[in-house]
Amino acid sequence: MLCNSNIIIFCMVPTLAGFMGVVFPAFGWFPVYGKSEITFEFLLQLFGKPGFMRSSLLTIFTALCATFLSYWICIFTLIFSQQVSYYSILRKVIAPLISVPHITVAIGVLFLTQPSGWISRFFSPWMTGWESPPNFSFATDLYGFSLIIGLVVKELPFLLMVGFVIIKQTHIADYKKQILTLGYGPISGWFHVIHPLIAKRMKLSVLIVLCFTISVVDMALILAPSIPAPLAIKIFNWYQSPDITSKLFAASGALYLLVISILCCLIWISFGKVFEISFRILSYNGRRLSATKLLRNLTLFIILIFLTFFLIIGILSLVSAGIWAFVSVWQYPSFLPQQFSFSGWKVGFDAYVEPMINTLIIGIISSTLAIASAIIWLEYSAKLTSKILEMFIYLPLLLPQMGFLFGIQVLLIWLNLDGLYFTMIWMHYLFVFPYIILTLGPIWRRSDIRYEILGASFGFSKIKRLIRIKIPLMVLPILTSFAIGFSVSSALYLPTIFAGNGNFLTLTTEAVVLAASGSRQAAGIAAILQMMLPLAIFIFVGMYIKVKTRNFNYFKITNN
Amino acid sequence: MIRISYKNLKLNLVVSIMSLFLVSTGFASENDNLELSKQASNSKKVSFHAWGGSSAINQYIQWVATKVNEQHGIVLKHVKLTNTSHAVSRILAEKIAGKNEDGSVDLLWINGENFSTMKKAELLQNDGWAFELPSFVYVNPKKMPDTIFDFGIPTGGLESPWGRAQFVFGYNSKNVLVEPNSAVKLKNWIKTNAGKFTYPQPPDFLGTSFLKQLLLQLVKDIHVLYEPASASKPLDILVPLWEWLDETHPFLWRNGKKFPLSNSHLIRLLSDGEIDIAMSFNPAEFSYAVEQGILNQDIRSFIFEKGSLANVHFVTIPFNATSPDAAKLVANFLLSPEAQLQKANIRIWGDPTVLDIQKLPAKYRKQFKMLPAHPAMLNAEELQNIAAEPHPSWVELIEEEWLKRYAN
Repeated sequence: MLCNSNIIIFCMVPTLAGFMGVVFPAFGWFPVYGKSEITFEFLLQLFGKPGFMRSSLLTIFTALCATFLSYWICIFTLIFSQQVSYYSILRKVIAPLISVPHITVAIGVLFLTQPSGWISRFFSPWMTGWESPPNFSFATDLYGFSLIIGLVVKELPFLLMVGFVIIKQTHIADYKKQILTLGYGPISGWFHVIHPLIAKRMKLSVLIVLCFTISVVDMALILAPSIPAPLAIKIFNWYQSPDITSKLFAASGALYLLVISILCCLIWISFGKVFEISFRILSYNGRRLSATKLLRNLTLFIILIFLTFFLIIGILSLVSAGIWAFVSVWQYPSFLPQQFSFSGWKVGFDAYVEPMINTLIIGIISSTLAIASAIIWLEYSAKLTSKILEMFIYLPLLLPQMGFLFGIQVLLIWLNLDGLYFTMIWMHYLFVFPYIILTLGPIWRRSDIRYEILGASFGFSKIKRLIRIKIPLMVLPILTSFAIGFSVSSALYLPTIFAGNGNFLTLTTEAVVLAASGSRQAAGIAAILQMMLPLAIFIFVGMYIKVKTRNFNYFKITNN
Repeated sequence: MIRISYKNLKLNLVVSIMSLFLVSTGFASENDNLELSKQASNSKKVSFHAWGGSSAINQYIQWVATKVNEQHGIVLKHVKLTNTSHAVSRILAEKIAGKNEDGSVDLLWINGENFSTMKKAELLQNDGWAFELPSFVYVNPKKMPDTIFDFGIPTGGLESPWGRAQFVFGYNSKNVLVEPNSAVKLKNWIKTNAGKFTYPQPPDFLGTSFLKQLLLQLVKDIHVLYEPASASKPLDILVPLWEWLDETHPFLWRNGKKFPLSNSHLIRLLSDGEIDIAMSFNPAEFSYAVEQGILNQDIRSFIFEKGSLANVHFVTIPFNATSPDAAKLVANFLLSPEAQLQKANIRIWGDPTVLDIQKLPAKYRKQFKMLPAHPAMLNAEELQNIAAEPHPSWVELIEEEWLKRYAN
């Protein structure tokens, strides 16, 4: 229990400070700027800002669409993974997509789809007659479809990864027999029997995806429409504005965005409930909804199209970013670059050694700490209180970073802790820990109790059972969470800047500065720098799991 | 080069692991150790927080670092910002947390509204240090009032001038045969070349500057713009601006339904051939991009014939800087003829000098005259035709009205 309270304090103190950094200014309280009056003025005036309602609707629309698409494509992919064995191919494709930062995918998607992009170049000028890029706005630009595509490209692989880990932990084969005995087809059987189990375990991950898509800034800056822009962008601009009242509007906007996140989660949960109840009613009245083979194949076909579409867009966007890193001249409409060069790399490899070491150290230590504390948390947490406290853990992911980090920054400076390695790791931990709990929690909490009983019958103590039995059994989800945690850590930009006191270069701080310059080559280099390490970790983990699980199969307790 | 001491690293690691078990008992114990190691390494370090989005500027700052190290033994560290507000916010956080010395920022690249905000919140060294720098004798505020007025606000010696920014257009001379160098000519060009012009979306700095540049051309009595907006009937003054925009927006890139987000986005559009005319607040931007291969050899520059918008950018020292004296030495070097000459060279950065060339020693005067030229950049004489920044109160008004009209 002592450890547990440590974890709470470790997470809660800065989170509370960050939260205060948003709440006080939202109510107009900012004494250093001569504002020391609690007022609702800014919260109310928010609605009078130009385009505010349309921004809110755009935010809700893009977030719900992106989450809906990612979730259902993921679920149907899982269903068909019982028939089509694309798992090994998929795993290879989704790893790089999870490991690259959102901004890389965004730049890539833009380069593919804009009128001067790769797709347009492919058909020009031989088919379209375009010698210079056409001047038309895709409908996608106006309603946020580009952003939705970009978000699905990033979130679908994450959900698939979570889904596959959960499937591996569930005894699907037994359920499948059950489904057949009950006389259901594979799809309706899935929804009657397996889906409730899977949906429960995936729920938190999906909600985090939903909240993330509401508050996303970096990807939206590149892909979202700008008149009006999504709410998160508006808030981001207000925070960056030198004007003082803008900062107060930013803080009240941040609170409002939090309310929108909660509302969207409620909408999502209630739709889930409706879905669940309707299947329950169906099973009570005993009807067997069995799709014909044709219909089933048609669904499979459609899902495969969707899945390949998003994955190919993702992969192509990475490829195009990779090519750009070595290109100096590539003018419209040539499909391939006209001139390659290494000029952007001339600063030399040396310049990247220090950022690389920092990224590795911070990422590995913060993820390892997060894994260790997640295990303690999951093993020893009492039911109800921990559920409520757990909400706190997710706050760093939900609040706009500029305001949240400002509060933490004040705390760190006050404690004289800013700019230290320890602080940097702590800050990353705040953002990594929720992802670890998210990916590890549902599996850990539903692990097979019989192994533990078996261990207890040998007279093993709780600690011994944990170390000798449970952790080795959980090695697959633990390592997967570790890889996800590392990629989260390595992509953090603002937290690194705010806690680092300018002392820390990571590959991401370098990449963001590079990407801010006009050159596409620099943006390409930035993309390569950023995906390098997380991808290496994913590949390493993948290989380790392969070797490890091969040995483990002998020890599997079978059910029959 | 930025260095991190790996000796400290080890200590920090041990402490960080230890502190995992200490967190519930308090933070005091590890503070003391770390404070010592921090102080020891603080002597003559200057941490210079400056926008880091241009490799030309970054390399110039590296050159400055080697120079101040040779001359004063100062270790200059360039902290690359993506937005000045991050540094302002950090200094503010330090003030709130009561950290009145040993602050993390020693020198900050700044101008305009960020400066006036920091001045108002008393976040700056306030001893008028900038006027006492030895290099300041080469500055001629009479000839160039912007060196002591930052967007019309008196600097009071709280910041030292560093360089000049000037609004220029860059265009593809293959497709644009006659320079549309007035608001009317530009409007006509846009209407006959649909889709080939756009500007960054306000409140982006460059986009707002474009609106100000237009306003300076369109308004009948230019003097009202140099007084606070509230002194006149501001909405009436802005009418010709909205008329110009209403007329041209349907002919802009993406029919004015979407705007690029930033300067770099705009340059990319020019490089992709999506547009034929772009703009920048750095007169050397286009020549540099041509040299880098980002833009093609046909790019040329022009400014409006009635004068182009110009302002000065500065460096300032926060109230709680760790080494303010060393920072002043750096600021002085940045203002020295040697550093200004290097900076004005378009092969290096191309940022025009804030010094009065006539006041310089003969040696430097000659060298300034011999600076290389580039076809994509206007020469010093052509760039003389400047218009000062309107009073800062116009900015907010223009941005808000623009958002109401076009971003709703």
